[in-house]
Amino acid sequence: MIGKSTIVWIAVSCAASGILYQTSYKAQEQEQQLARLNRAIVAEQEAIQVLKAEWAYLNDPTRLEKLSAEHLLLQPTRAAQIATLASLPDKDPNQPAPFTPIPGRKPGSARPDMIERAPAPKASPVPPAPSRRQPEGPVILAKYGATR
Amino acid sequence: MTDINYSLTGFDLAGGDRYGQGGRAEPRIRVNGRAAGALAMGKSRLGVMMAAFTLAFGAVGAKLVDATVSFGGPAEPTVARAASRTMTNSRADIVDRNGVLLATSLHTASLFADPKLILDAGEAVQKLTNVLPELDPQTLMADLRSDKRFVWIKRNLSPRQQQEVFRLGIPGLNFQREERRVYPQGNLAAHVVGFSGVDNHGLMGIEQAFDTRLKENPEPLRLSIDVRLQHVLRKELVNAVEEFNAIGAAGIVMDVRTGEIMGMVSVPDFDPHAPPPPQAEQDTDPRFNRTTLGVYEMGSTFKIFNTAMALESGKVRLQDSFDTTRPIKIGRFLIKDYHPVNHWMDVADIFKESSNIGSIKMAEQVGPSAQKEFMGRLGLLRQAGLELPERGWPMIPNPWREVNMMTISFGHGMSVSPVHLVQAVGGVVNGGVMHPATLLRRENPNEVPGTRIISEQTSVTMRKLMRLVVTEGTASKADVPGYVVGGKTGTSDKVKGRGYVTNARISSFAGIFPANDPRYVVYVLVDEPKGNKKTFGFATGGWVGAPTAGAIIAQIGPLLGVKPQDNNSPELIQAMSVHPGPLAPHGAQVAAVPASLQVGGEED
Repeated sequence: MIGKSTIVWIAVSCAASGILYQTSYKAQEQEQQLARLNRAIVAEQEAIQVLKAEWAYLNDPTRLEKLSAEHLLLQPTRAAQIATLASLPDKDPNQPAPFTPIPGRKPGSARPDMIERAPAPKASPVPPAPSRRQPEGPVILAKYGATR
Repeated sequence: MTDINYSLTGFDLAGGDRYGQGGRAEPRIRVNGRAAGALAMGKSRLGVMMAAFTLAFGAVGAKLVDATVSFGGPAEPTVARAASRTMTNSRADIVDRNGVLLATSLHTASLFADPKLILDAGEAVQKLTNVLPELDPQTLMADLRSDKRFVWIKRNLSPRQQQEVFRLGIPGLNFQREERRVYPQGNLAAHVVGFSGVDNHGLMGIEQAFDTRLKENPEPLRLSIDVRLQHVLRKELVNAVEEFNAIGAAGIVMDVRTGEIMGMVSVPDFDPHAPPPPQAEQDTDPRFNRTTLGVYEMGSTFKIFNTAMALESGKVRLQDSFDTTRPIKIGRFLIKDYHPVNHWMDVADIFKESSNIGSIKMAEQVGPSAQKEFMGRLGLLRQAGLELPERGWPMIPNPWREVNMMTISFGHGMSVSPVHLVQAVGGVVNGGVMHPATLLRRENPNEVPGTRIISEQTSVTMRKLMRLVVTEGTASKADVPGYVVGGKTGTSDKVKGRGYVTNARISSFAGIFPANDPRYVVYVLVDEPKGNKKTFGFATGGWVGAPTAGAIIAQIGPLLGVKPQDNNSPELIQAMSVHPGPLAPHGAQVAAVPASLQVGGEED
């Protein structure tokens, strides 16, 4: 007859080996997964590198300039287009303040017309210059792909 | 008294012997004969077995505890795994000052074949040339029929080509993973970046100079050049070459405060993916770097240094006049002026009109040894300290005689490379402190090495003189509204063999902007330009170099964030005038100028 303690020990060792077996397989499986993920990471990094190179290639200034000339109306910036705040002329006191929407106003609290603005002069002494008037409707002056 | 007793194992080994005894203490177990020996042996065997099992299980248990509970053994396998987690590139990237990729390594597949395993060479050749039309059928057939076990068919296939070859399903073909150097900007910075060979060895430019650095440190190498400036430079230089039917051109933009080269272009250039073989004739070699390797007699741009030297010596003052009415004879040459005048000229006039005679007279006040010493201080007597393998040695006279001094005063008889000249001009206009030219971005702009070459006072005078050349002198075509350009034109006959060649000249312009507080030097050199109808047949620095530099400055000024100024504002004109007159006549005008125009002098 086998003693109780012997049975206990055999059971414990069986359980231990079972757990060991399972753990070992689990570890192996996870190791494979880790290797798989690492390979995937490297593949992604290589893909990123290729995309970076392509991005740089497509952003070649020579190509961008050609595309911009074909599809846009933009031209290189000239020095005359850059102004400092100090070089802006002073505000004309006779000009009515332009309407600016007030941010954060709840809808329906007050109509834009009812917002106080600087009182306009009773009668503007200077009529608006005709050259300043905007032409009616959109006017397209430039041709795409025009030589410059 | 019950005398029933059990042994350790629970077996009543001596049960049969337990019967009444008469008060005599008898041993409980009495085994006689052979049984006694067997029992003792069984006991000892049991003990040995127990000891063995205890030892074995103890060892297993100890190992288990070691493997699971205690970490930090030296043989942790995580290190190897971490290494495989990142891509391994054998060469680091090269980027421009803003991080735009100039050179990178990509993994590609190279196609090779084992001819022994190819079943039908004819079919394989036909299929392969369908997919890869650039292959030559004859050599391919010869390769595949050879007795070798390994032949390259094509290296560095694109992923699409690789997929197509896969689809052919020809046995005996295989792919080798390789790394390939890719230059996304193509020709744009070919001379600066250089290129590397199939085996990832740098063979030119930065790729060669920093070969070990690129292999050892995976961090990208950041250069000082800017791709946008590079593009503007190249475009304008190519335009100039076409317009004046020249054989080549060179251009440099340098930040005078740090010495960083922000743009450097030599035309003609090449595709770094397929570099042409080097040629014997440097004039037509696309690989020849005119900006650093080419040394030229610079002509009148040297008068910047001559004037600075004369003023710095204290022997010549700005107001001094010299007799420039008669030509000077040096050996068999007669030195004349391009625009002869019949009166004496002062230093400003000599510089403005680019008088050779006046320059000689000024140099004579200083002397040859002082001139040589000054040129050495400007770094014009040794190789430039730029990080490129292609650097030219200046050609200087030895011994440095009176005659040499006279010719060098107007930029002949001594050859330097454009990068030498740009570095020295940068020093002359940068308050007299010259920073060594570099192609690497300065990590700490506050700690830039520099040497004082002239006094601040002389530097300020030189800025004014260079502005004068643009406003009243030979370089009027370099002026750009908004960017106060200063500079000096230069035209020199080319030296070929032992003498000068007529009608083959170097036309150049060394410009600075903004002249009242210089930030950048822009240098343009056009090699053998020919005059055309638009320039009335002229091909001098003022007609060729100056307008090209002006066009470059007009485009790069906004890119560099230089604040535009009003070129015609009285304050600026007053500040840049060489002989500041009394303020009185200007005073009324200044007062009438609206505040909105007062932008002059507000430099950051």
